[in-house]
Amino acid sequence: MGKSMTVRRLQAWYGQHQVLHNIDMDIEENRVTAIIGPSGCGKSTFIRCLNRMHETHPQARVDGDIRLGDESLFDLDPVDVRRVVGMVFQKPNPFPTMSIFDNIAIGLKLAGIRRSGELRDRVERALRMAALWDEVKDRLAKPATALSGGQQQRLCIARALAVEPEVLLMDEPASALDPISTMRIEELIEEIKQTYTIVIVTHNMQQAARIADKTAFFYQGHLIEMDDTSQMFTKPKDKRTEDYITGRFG
Amino acid sequence: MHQRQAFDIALKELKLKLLHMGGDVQESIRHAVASVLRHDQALAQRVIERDREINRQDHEIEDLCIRLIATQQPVAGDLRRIVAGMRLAVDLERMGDLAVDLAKTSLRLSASPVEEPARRLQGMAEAVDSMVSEGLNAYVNSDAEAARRLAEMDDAVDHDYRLLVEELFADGPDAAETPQQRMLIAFCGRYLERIGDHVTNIGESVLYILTGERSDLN
Repeated sequence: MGKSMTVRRLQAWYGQHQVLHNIDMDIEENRVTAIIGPSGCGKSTFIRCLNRMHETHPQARVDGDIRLGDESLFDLDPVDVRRVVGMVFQKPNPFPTMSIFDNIAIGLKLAGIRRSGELRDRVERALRMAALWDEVKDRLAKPATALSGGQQQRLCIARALAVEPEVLLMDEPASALDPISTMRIEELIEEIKQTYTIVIVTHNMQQAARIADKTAFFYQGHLIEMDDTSQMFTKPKDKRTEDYITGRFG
Repeated sequence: MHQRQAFDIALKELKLKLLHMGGDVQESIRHAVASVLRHDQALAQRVIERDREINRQDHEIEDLCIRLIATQQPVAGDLRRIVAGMRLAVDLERMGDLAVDLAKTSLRLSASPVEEPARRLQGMAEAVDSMVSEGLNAYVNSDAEAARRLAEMDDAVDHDYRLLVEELFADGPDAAETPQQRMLIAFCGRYLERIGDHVTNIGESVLYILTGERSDLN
């Protein structure tokens, strides 16, 4: 089961430039939370803070607290954080020189799983969960780059799921995909939310409306409004949210 | 043209179509009432013929709303305007049908006109006409207060209707009018009362557009 995340007074900087201002957010477990907002509003920085990737930037700085369940992320080793809070990026990024099987197995091996039987089982389970198993089971030794863009993205989701995280962060996971592949990713998100907590950044309003339970609107580094998705898309409270989702800016 | 500008123009077009339809429906109701009060068969016939045009306007507005939903995928205030627009068109179309019912009843009454009871309808018809004006104004001016006032106006129309029915049937078998004439006048009262109810629906749609909240004005 996924865990909840609690964000309090989160601030983030790149050098002198502050990109996030006092963000408070409760991310519910086993729910899909969508982050929307115009380019440069801080939404990608925000989810990069949720698995401490933001700090890998040389001039980046973070202040405030983020808790996964009862634990502060800042009390944990960043490598452990990234195992329990996985990330899928906009562009599918399978390891190009590795086979389909090894793309999944590598994370498991790094986590200390060596027995080939267990590795096979875990790879199969991850591929099944990502709804990719039936399409690749006969060519697991083929290079991952032989897959279509949509399949590569599901492979990346399988790779993230293989290490059994609590939370899955997705940064515009379908923006580079065709409509059918996008639909498969959305169906997949709907299925895996039973097991994981999902936070998704998207520029696609309809996608947020379709898949998210909660939606948060960011603007100029501030969290303007967060509510049930149906509420946000029918009756937003803040005029800036209304103007953004109705296409008046951004 | 920027997509948002094109969408804004389409939303204005929707508003204009609804206002045009609202004006036509109000005129039909006025003519239908006048045909009852003045025993004017030609006017009643015109109301009946004109209903086809009102139905066409309803379909045109529905088509526009469906096209906007399909192509613009509206949300928030835009979505509320479009969904409420469809509901407004349905209420106006039903009001047009009630004007036709009035006109048909007027034709049946004109075979043996009754003066006094028909005159009892006049005050009620004026109150309903004010309601229609107020409902359309509330929509044009996005006026929540005007929309809420419709509830009181509707209460007054309901009261008038009860009085009308009580008076019509208080005289008993010795009344000047036949039972059928009294029944037809009561029907006319009922149609006007129903028009008032549809105007409160218009008020509810206006409030939904403005606040996103559901309300009950009737």
